[in-house]
Amino acid sequence: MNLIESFRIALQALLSNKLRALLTMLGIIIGVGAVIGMLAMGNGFQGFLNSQFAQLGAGNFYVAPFIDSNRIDVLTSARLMASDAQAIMQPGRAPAVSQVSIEFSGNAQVSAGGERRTYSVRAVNPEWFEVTPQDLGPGRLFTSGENQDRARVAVLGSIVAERMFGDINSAVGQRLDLNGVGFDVIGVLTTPEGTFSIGADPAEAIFIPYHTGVARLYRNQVNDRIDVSIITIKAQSVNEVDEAIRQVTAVLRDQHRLTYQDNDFSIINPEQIAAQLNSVIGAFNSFLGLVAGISLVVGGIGIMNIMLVSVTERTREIGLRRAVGAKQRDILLQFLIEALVLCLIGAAIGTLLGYGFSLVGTFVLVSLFNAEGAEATVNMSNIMLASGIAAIIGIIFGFFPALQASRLNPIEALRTE
Amino acid sequence: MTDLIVVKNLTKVYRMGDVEVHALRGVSLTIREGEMVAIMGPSGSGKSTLMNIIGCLDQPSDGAYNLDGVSVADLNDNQLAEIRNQKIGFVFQQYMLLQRTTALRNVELPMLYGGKGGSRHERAMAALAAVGMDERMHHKPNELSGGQQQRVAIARALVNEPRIIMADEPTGALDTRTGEEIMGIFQKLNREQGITVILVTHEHDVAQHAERIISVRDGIIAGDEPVQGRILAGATVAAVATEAEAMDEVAS
Repeated sequence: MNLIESFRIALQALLSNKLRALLTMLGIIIGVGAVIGMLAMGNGFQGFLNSQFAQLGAGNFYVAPFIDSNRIDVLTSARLMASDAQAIMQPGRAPAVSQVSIEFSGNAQVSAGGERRTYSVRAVNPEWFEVTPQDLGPGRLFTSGENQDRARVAVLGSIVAERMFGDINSAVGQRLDLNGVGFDVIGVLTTPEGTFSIGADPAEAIFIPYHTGVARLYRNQVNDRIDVSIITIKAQSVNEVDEAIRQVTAVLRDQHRLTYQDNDFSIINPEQIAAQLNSVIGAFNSFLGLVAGISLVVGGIGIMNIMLVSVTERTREIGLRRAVGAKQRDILLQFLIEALVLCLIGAAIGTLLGYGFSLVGTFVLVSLFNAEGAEATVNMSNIMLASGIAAIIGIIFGFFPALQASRLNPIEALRTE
Repeated sequence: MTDLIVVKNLTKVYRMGDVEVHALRGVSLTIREGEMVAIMGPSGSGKSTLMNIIGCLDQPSDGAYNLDGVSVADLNDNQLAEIRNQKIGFVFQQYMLLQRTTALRNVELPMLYGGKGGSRHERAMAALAAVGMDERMHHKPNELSGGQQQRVAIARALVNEPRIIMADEPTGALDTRTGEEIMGIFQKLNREQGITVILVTHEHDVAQHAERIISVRDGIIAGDEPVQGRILAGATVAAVATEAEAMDEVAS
């Protein structure tokens, strides 16, 4: 007997009792749906995180004035200076680095026309906008000259502009006070709210030239050890990040005259963090998939149960088939294929259900986890995985009933009422 | 005519718990090709056991069984299935048709497990034509009368062109007139196609349609005699005669 014939017979047998077939498949349907839905949500979350890290800029890494909190070393306290950034950019000292930007940030009282709020004020050099590109709306960014001259100019995030001046277009040209110091608004960023950034959300921050900030706003906060809160460094290419980190470390240790001591600064490599997060999320996904897979096993038991009933009900049919020449193998195959078809149809319906779950998953990611733009995605390999497991379960749990069917004594089977 | 079935000293012992049941206690008989034989006996006589062994559904405990020159006692389960498929056609009292399956599909069933080549569909249609059921080939069993269902069952038995048709109480569930028609079909197949027909029955009237009656009692053969005054189901035979030619054409 050929396989196509077997599949046809199996389909016919299942179609003859649709409700029962559907109920039998339910476990597999839910199992496959859950596996696919869970994995889709995991994929979506992972994709979201990766896109967030991508927003930081490819090939970027950061130096911050932190000391590894796991060590207690009385001889070192953190140190990071604008002069460090200059040293990094000196020709030949860190050739794997393409650009460096510095920043000192804090909060300030912001007031304009009676409106009074507190915002994060990020004092950056103009290179910052090149290393971490932003969307510029009306107006312009400040120049190197303005930075050198400590010009009192400000670029506002879109939310700041809206709140202080009603809308982004009317903000440019206005004046606002930061801790009582007057600034001209020269531009507004339209970078979307929630864009991932090391530091305050650009949409809710005010950007002023670095030297202006250090001289006029943060004079009491900087000292001879720390006058930048973060250095953002762009490597020549994504592949040269590790090399750039080595070179920058060497330059900074030299600048800080460290010999045997530990670093008095920290280097943050987002790619490394992303990789760690990805592996954690990946493991969590696998765990969720495994839990969902348990319902597949439960579904398999349901299939075995109903196949055993089916064998009992169709004893006479089995006897007849044996009488007209079916070998034990033919009967075994017939019932095995029936279980397999049950599982495969269940897997197909379960895949549709999984798509449904993934839509719910997208909703959950966006609304509950605030992951704007995240999308739970069903991919082909997950479908294949879930269907493959369903098929294996069909074969495993279908085997015992099928074996029983094939071992029926034809005479007794024919005599059964 | 050659000897198709040769049985020598056949015994069959069942174990039912601690009790040994001797269903057959040394049966010897020969059935020649083209014969129409009735095996008679009351229930518990061993006739069903004998039929099962002759039909290759069961193996004897001891003794020899030669079917068409092959020693059946030495065959394994797969080989027995092949013989049932190729050489024997079964007809049962309860028709044993697959429900929710058309007559045509039912008749095609034996060909799923081994056939003689050619289009399954055509062969099944020819077999249905031979029993006068070609016009109802798309009907399902629950849309057919008992006699019609039994005709479909006979078509199924015929479809692989067996040497032997074994009919176990084939008219047991039918009224007399319909039973006559069915017996007419067996007689015609036997006469025109030379198929060996073995009827298993406890009804004397049915056995009278055969040429020879073998009586089984208490596991042995109690009598083996030619039929005197054989009943010929003439009228009904004529009704299906023309369809038989269609079957012959496909077969040749």
